[in-house]
Amino acid sequence: MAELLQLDRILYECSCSEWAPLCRLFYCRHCSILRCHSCTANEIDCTFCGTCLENVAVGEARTRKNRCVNCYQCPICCSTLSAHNSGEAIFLSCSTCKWSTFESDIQQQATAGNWKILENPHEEELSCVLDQMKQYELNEKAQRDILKRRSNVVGSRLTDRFGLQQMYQKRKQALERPTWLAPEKEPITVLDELYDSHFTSIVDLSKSLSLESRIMQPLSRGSECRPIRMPLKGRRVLRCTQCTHNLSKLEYSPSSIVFKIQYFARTYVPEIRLWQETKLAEGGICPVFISVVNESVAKADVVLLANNDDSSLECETPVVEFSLPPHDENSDNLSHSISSLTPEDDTIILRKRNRVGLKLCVKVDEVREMNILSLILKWKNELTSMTSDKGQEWRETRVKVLLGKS
Amino acid sequence: MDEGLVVVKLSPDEYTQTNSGNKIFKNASIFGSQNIIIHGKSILMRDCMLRGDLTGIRMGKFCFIGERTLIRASHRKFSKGATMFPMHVGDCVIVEEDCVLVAAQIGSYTHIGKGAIVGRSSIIKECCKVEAGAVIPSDSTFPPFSVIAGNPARVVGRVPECTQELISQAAKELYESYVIQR
Ligand SMILES: [Zn+2]
Ligand SMILES: [Zn+2]
Ligand SMILES: [Zn+2]
Ligand SMILES: [Zn+2]
Repeated sequence: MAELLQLDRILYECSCSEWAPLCRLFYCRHCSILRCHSCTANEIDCTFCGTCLENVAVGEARTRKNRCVNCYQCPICCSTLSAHNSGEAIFLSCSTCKWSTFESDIQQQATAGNWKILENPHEEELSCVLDQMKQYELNEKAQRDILKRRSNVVGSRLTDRFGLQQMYQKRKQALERPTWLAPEKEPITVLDELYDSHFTSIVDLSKSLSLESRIMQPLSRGSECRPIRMPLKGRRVLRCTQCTHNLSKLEYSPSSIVFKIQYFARTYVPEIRLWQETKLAEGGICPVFISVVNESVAKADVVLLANNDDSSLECETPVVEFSLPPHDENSDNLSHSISSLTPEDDTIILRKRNRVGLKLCVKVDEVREMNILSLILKWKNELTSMTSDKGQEWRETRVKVLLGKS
Repeated sequence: MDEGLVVVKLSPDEYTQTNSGNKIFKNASIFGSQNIIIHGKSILMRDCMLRGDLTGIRMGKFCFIGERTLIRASHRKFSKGATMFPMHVGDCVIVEEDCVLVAAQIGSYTHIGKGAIVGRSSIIKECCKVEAGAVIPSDSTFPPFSVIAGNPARVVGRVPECTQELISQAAKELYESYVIQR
């Protein structure tokens, strides 16, 4: 079976002048331009666990430090740990490297979820400092506020019918500098000496964790391991940065593959694909076989132009013009496949439903590791704009065909 | 390559077409065929093996099973012995040659590259791409739109958003381009 699809060998130029395969691009019908991942606004619409596929609300994800509490990763090889019942309790084990919780300090427990992760020994102190800093923040905010509304005199003369007195008291309280409650630390003046043995002593790598598992559990000092909570995944919604319309949005459920909104470039822009592997021979004129497919539900008029200025190969076929019928969703009738086998001319050598097979002639001076054939694609499709009169306009983009050494 | 314009000829001595349109290698090792349901228009290539004798295998439309690929139901061990689980393969699943699938579920529009091993009771959701040579650990689950690679395999990227269209078209084109004729 020949290499399937190979979509990354045909690159289209996005409106932001990035190059990407057509399947990775989007088409904004409001602005009539191509958009890629880097020139769209990305937002996360749902956070979920990739293993149990459970949706986790954003706030909850934050308090759980973006981890799932029911699914665990192996601290050695990152595989998913599976829970087993040992008769009296539950333990976790890895089916790949055979690590199990029996090798950790918590061997088994009554429930499958909520395994304790390694804690920071300074956790309490750090949260105390954090609270204190929040107090300071409030204090500084109150001071800024008073500068802003100096004229706004709220005196104690007011009756407390609207709870103003209480508010006033609160504000007054916030203005007082809070006292430092977190334990104070003495600065260190003398550091431990750095002994040469740190560099010269022989390390037994078989006893220490790999760099990757050290990074996964930064709180482990040395060799202790515990099951690692599965990191959550985020799912993106893409928006056009110019008109802020959504370009891609999935349905609510994390396991859904149904899009609520989809403006895939393939549905609006004719897709160029490699048809046969090209054999490039130096110093001659070689045929390059490509096909052009219209995936749109509207007819497409297409013009392909040679763009020899920024091409490493010179295209001898200056221009090809043709139109493609719309893509028919329901054409499950596969029998009458090839509608015209006789070549229309030297370039358009076959037609099959919504696609044509083209033979372009290319002059090869020098065969490199990667040979680029540059083309200009112009197309007209009534669906490329929201308004029907603008749908009659020609659209244009540059295309790079990457031909291997063969 | 454009699958829509390529024709691969399968010899009528070696391949046969069933009433539901499946194109099957005549000497494929298919065990327990009463437990195997293929919804039609699928291709089973030379020397592939389907073990329906263990438990059921259910496969959707427009699947492509490459040469020498093995599909077998999975099992899970419990304290009182092991239980076999049936295997569900969705629609438009393309499996290249020399793969071993022991999964519980392979979602629709999934493409599995050459020589990949999909471990026991694993679940691959829809629109995933398993890179060639990946080894998927048993009991693992992968969310839709994942690119899965490595040994042990993990998610290394995301497939394009339009994968459902891409793979369903490619699967239909593959079915069309493999013709039984002399
Ligand atoms: Zn862009
Ligand atoms: Zn989970
Ligand atoms: Zn492991
Ligand atoms: Zn726009």
